[in-house]
Amino acid sequence: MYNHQINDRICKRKSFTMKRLLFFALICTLGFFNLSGQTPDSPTPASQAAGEFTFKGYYNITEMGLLIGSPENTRPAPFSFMTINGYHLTEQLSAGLGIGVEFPSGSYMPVVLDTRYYIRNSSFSPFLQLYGGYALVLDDAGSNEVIYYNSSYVDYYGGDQKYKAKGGWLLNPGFGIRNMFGENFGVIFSVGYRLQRLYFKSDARKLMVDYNRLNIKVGITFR
Amino acid sequence: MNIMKTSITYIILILVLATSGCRDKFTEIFVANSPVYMTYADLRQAVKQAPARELKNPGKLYFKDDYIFIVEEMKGIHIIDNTDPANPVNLTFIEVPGNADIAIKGNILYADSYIDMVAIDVSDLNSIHEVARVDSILPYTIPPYDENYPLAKLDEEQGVVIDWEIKTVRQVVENRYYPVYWRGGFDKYVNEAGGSISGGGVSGEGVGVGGSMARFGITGNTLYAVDNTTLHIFSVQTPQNPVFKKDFNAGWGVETMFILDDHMFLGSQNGMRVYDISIPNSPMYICNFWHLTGCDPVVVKDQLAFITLRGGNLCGNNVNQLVVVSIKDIQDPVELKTYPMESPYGLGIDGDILFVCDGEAGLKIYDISDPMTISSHQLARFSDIIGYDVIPLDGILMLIGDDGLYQYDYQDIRDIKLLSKIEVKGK
Repeated sequence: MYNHQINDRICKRKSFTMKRLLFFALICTLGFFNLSGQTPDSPTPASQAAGEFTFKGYYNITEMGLLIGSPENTRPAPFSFMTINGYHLTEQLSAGLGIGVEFPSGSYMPVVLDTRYYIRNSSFSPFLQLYGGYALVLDDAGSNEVIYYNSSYVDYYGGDQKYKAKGGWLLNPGFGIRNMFGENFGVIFSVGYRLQRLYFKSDARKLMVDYNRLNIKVGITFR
Repeated sequence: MNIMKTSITYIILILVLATSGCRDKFTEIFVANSPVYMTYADLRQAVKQAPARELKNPGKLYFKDDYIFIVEEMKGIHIIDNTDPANPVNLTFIEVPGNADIAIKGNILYADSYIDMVAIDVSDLNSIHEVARVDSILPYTIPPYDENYPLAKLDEEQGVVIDWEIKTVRQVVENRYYPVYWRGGFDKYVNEAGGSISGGGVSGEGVGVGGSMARFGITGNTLYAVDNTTLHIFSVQTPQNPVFKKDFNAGWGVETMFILDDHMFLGSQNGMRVYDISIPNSPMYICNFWHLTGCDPVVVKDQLAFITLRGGNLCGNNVNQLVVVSIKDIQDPVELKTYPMESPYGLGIDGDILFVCDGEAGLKIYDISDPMTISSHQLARFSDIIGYDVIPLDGILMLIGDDGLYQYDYQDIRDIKLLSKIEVKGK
C-alpha cells in the first residue's frame, strides 16, 4: 500500500517532468518548420509536395532516443537506436523491418515490424505508429547489475548464481510528426509507449522484467 | 492548428498511459514452499474433539491426574488415560491447529493455536470444548518447511500457514529501494520458524506437570507463555477466562521455561535467565548465567540447576554438554561442573535421579547425589531410546520420542522396567 503511494507520487512527479520535456520537444520540432521558412499564409510544402512527388516506394528511417521510466528504476532512461528499412504501400501507409540496439539492462538488438499511418498525404504530417517484435540478447553482462538490485534471489542465495538474459517481446504504439524537406529527406519526431518483457534464467529460477517506458525519439528519413 | 490540437490530445493520452506504470516490474518464477492458508475465521472455529488417533509427530508432554497429554505437532493434543501405566489407553484427540505447547490448571487446558491462546474445558472427556480464546496474542509462526527451497511471499492477511506446497510460484519482487517490507517479513518468519511457542509446567495445586522443553508454565493464578523474545503473561484467576495481562521482554533466543516456587528459569540460546515472579505480573530480573551458545532446557532441584546444551545447525555452537550450576546464591550462579554429552534434548529430575534424553546416544540415567561425579554414577543407559523429553513422576518415567511414548517403572533404580509403549504410526 505504502509502496504504491510512493510509486504513484514518483510517477506523477516524473510525468510532470516528462510533460515539460515533451512540450519542449514539440516546440523544437514545430520551430524547425518555421525555420525552414514556412508561414501559414504561404503555400505549405505539403500542398506543393502533393502534386510534386509520391511517397510510395522504399524508405529508410533512422531514429535514436530514450526509454524513459521512473527515476527509481536501476536504468531510468536507457538509450535506444533503430534503423528501419521499409516500403510505402500507399501514400499514407508504410511498413518496414527495423533493427536496433537498446540497453534496458544488458545490450539488446530489437528486431521489429514497424507500421505507420500518415494522417495527411503531405510533406508535413502527423502519423500513428505501431511496432513490435523481439529483442535479441547481444550482451547480458549488464543484466545482473539490474537484477541484483531488484531480485529477491540475491537475498536467498547471496547472488552467487547469475541470471542469463534470454531476450523478450516488445510492443510500441506511438505517434509522431514527419516533416519532409524535399522528396528525399525529412525529419521525424515521435513519442511512444513501450511495453517490453525481458526474460532471464538461472539454474533454479526464471525472471520476467516488465518495462513500461515512454519512448521519445528523433530521427531522419531518406527515400 | 487542428494538427496541434490532435497532437496534444495524443500526448495527454500517452502520458496517462505512462503514469499508470513507470516502474519496471520484476516477476520471479521459481519452485518454492508455497503457503497453504487457513483463514482466521476458520482458525477460530477449528478447536474440536475428535476420535483418538495414532501418534504421528509427537511433541511436548504434559501430565495431570493420571492423564497424559501429548502434543501432536501443529495438529492438536492426544489424551491418554494412564491410570494403569502398564496399559495406557489412547482416549481421544483435540484438534488444535498450530498447537505446540500446553499447560493445565484445574479442568482447563491452555493451548496455543497459531496466534491465539485457547482455553479448553477438559472436565468431561466426552465433551471437550473451547471456553475462551485470546485472539492474536502470540507471534505469527509458520510450520517447518523444506529448506531446499525458498519460501514464497507470505500474506498474513490471508490467515495462518497450515502447510506448504512445493510448487512453482510467480511473484512480484518488491523493489529494494523502498523500505523493504517483504525482507523484514522474511527474516521474521525465518527466525520464528525455528521456535514455535510451546509450554512447560510446574507442580502445584491443580496444575499439571510439563517436560523440560516446555514454554508454558502456570503458577498460582498466572499463565506464562514464552516465545523467542517475549514472555506473555495471562491471568487465569478464573480458569475458564484467561485474561491477557502484559508482554514482558525476556531477551533473545528463549527456548524453555521452568518454574520453581517464586523463580522462573528461562533457558535461552546463550544462557539461563532467572526471574523473580513473586509479583506475577511483574517478573524481576535476577541474574543471567551465560554459557556457550546452544539449545538448552533447564531443570532445577533445590540449589542446583541442570542445563543441557545442544549444538548443531539450529542451535549455534557445536557444544553438547550437561552443565551443573549452583544457585545457592540466586544472584550469583556458579558453574560447578560440565559433562560431555552427544546431543541432549530434554531432561527430568526426581529426587537424586536425573534423566537425560541424549539424542542418538539414548536415554541416560544418573545418580546426582554428588553433583561433582555425575558421569561416574550413570545408573543406566538405553541406547535404543531416542527421546525428546521426559517427565519422571512417582516412580514412573514418561518419555516422548520420535517413535512413541514410553513408560518405565524406575522404583527400583537398579532394575528399570519398560511398562508400556504407544507407538508412533503412519509417519
